[in-house]
Amino acid sequence: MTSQIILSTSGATKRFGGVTAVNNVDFSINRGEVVGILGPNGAGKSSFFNLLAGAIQPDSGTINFLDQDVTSWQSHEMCAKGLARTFQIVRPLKGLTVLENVMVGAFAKTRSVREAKEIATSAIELVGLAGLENVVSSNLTLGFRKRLEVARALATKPEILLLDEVMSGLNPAELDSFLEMLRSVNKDGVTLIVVEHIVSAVIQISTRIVVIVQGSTIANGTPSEVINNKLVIDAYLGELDYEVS
Amino acid sequence: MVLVQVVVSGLLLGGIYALLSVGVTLVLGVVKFVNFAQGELLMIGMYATLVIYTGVKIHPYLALPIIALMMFFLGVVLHFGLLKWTVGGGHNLQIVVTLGLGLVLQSGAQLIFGGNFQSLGEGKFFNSVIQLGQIYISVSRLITLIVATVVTFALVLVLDKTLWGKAVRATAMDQGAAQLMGIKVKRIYLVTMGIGSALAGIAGVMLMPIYPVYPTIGTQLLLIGFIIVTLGGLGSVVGAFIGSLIVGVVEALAGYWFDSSMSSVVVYIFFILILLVRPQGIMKGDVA
Amino acid sequence: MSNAKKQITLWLSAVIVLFLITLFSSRQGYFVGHLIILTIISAALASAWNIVGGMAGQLSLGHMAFFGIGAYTSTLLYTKMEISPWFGLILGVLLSSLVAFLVGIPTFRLEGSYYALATLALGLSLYQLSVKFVSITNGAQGIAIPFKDSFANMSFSALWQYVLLAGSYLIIVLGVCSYIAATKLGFQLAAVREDAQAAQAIGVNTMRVKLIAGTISGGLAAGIGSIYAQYILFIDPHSALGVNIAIQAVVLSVVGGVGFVFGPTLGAIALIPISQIILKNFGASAPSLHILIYGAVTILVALVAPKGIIGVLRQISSRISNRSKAGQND
Repeated sequence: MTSQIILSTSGATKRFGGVTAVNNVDFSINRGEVVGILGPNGAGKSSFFNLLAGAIQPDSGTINFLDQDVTSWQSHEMCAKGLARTFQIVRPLKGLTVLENVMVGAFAKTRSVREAKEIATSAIELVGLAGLENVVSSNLTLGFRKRLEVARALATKPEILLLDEVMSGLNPAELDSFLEMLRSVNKDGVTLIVVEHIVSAVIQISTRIVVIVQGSTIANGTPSEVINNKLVIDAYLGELDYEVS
Repeated sequence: MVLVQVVVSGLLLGGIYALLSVGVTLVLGVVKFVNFAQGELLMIGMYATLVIYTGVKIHPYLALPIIALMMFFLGVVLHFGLLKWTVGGGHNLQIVVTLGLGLVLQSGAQLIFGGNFQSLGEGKFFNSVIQLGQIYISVSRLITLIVATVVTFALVLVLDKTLWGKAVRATAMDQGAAQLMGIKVKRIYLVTMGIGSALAGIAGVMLMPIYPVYPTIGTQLLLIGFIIVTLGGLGSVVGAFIGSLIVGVVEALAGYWFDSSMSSVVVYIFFILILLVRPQGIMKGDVA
Repeated sequence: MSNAKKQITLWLSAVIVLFLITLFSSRQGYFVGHLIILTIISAALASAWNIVGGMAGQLSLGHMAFFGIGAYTSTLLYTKMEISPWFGLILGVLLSSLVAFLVGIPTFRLEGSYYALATLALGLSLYQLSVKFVSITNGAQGIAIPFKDSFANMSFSALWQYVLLAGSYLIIVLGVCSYIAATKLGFQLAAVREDAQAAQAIGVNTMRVKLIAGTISGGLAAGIGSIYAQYILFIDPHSALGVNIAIQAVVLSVVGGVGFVFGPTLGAIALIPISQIILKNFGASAPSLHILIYGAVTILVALVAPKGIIGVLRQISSRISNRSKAGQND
């Protein structure tokens, strides 16, 4: 793994009314990593996520992506540059088929319908939805809809994929195969940032974990470092038995 | 001095608009429903006033409570029988369905009453004018403004102080949370639609002595209603009231400076300006 | 069948259908011929509307403005400066596109209802302006267009020639729609229509895409306005800029299948002949009966069959193919 920083924030701050959701956060991620972001509800994870994705803009601080200042950039600009995201509550383009959904993603990087179809088809295969191309997306179950989210984001050929609590609502069997899928996506060269609730899942898949509590980072290290970190245990995890593989 | 007269006339005009737009903003803020048939509801209020006045000889201002009640039930029936299927279905669906409803009501009125402009003719207060110094004030418009102010004030009080009003505001803020707290959201929608319709009806009653009615009067008034709602802030009753006065004055000034036929064009341009400068309106979007 | 072959067959069939209709209309009396032309003109306008209203999902209530710009531009240039309506048509299309573009800029940033209101405001404004500025537009009296039949004047002596004229324009509009639907723009418009925020996150520049659709839609609507003027040989604020023009475009598209290339055309075929017949028979006693029907049908379709006639046809055809598949498995 090359240790080359592709996305970083410096002093990122976001306030909503009187609440400081993201408090002066410094963050960086190297190419090829899988960084998990943990933290209690309302701790600022989602706001931080949306800052990275360009859905909202910081009140102060900077965001840097692939050696460019993208602080004021919006989501479609971030997407064009190579940062894709999924939504916590999945948002399939309901009237469109699986293939059409993913092709919209592919069009972020190409003009040709034929090429978009090719890109879409391989993304669909990578996430394990092969065979369902012509199913209207509103007919998919939740697990498949989540894979569709990922496929659509992958079709934009991103450097980084931001996953927003993508595993909630999946049963253990679905979760395992989902994690497998994410591993192969990462192996394919896509850097992942995974914001999650399901601690065990994040520990299994991340190369590094960042814990955000009340808008600030309180821990940043390997999974075993983080779960044994006293601050983290006090603020968030409690005494838990976790196995790190 | 003439300018003051124009402004006063504008404020009085705003009174009429207020009754219509308060209804629009209430429905928009609480039920999140875009009702493009609101203008036709006002039209029905006007025709109802006409029929009662010419048929049973009851003065509009006396018939007001009857018509308001009738329109309330009409609103409830329309919601229960038709419009509830579109709540949550997206604004486009609501626009299309209410547009269709508006067409039905409009053409129905044409079939029943014919396409001509119809007025109430002679009657108490209709044409009387009082004089304050150099300013002439039409009595019927003044009464309209007073009614609009009272109604708005009453509505704000109900929304703010009563338990039911709080339930309405809760529903407006977060329908899901409200439901979880035991608020019967569907019933709130029903009643709100009824009130919105009643308000349009009252607006029609107050407008009838001032202006003639014809089947297509709804379209233009609908647009003004929504412009005011935009200016005032979606869902804000107070905002709609203030916005109505502002738009009334703008229209009166435009009519004075340019031409009475251009006054609505100026309001439309004003609308585009609002969209460019401050589309969220002057008040924060909290119901009441 | 490869894509290219599909395209050619489609075009060929369209041309053949137009030819047959033209042939048919040349043998018919005035009423039927007039009916066919009106249907085609309505279909063309509704199809133009469909680009922004159906494909992009941005409900415009102001397409009478674009239609009227086309009608008045070519008419004024023709009657006052003797410029051929063909140039007038092109000029009208360009002017209308510009107006559509300018209206889109402040409104497409906001939620869809604002576009509906702003376009309605545009249409009503142009109506008022055309009534007021009598020196230019002759106000409410309207403008009568002198008839000197020649190709250069876009004036013809036989109805079937107007059928050909309007029909060709309809084919052009449908061609533009099909092209959009089959390319990147179509996919992006569909994404914006379904969920603009999600589309933005997948890299669609929603503002740009909506503006393109709005501009094309407004431009195409103007062209058919010019053709209408040259056919009827009389325009006034009501017939060229009336609200009912915009509403009819919406109704035809919704009934036929909003968002589908051929939806508005099917809607026109379904509704225009009926409404014209009703007008003919009940026009005196019940002048807005057809409007009532428009309204009722719109409500019904929007609630019960939101994909319109095309949606229903698709459901029927998939049910038939499912049955035949089931039959094959026996």
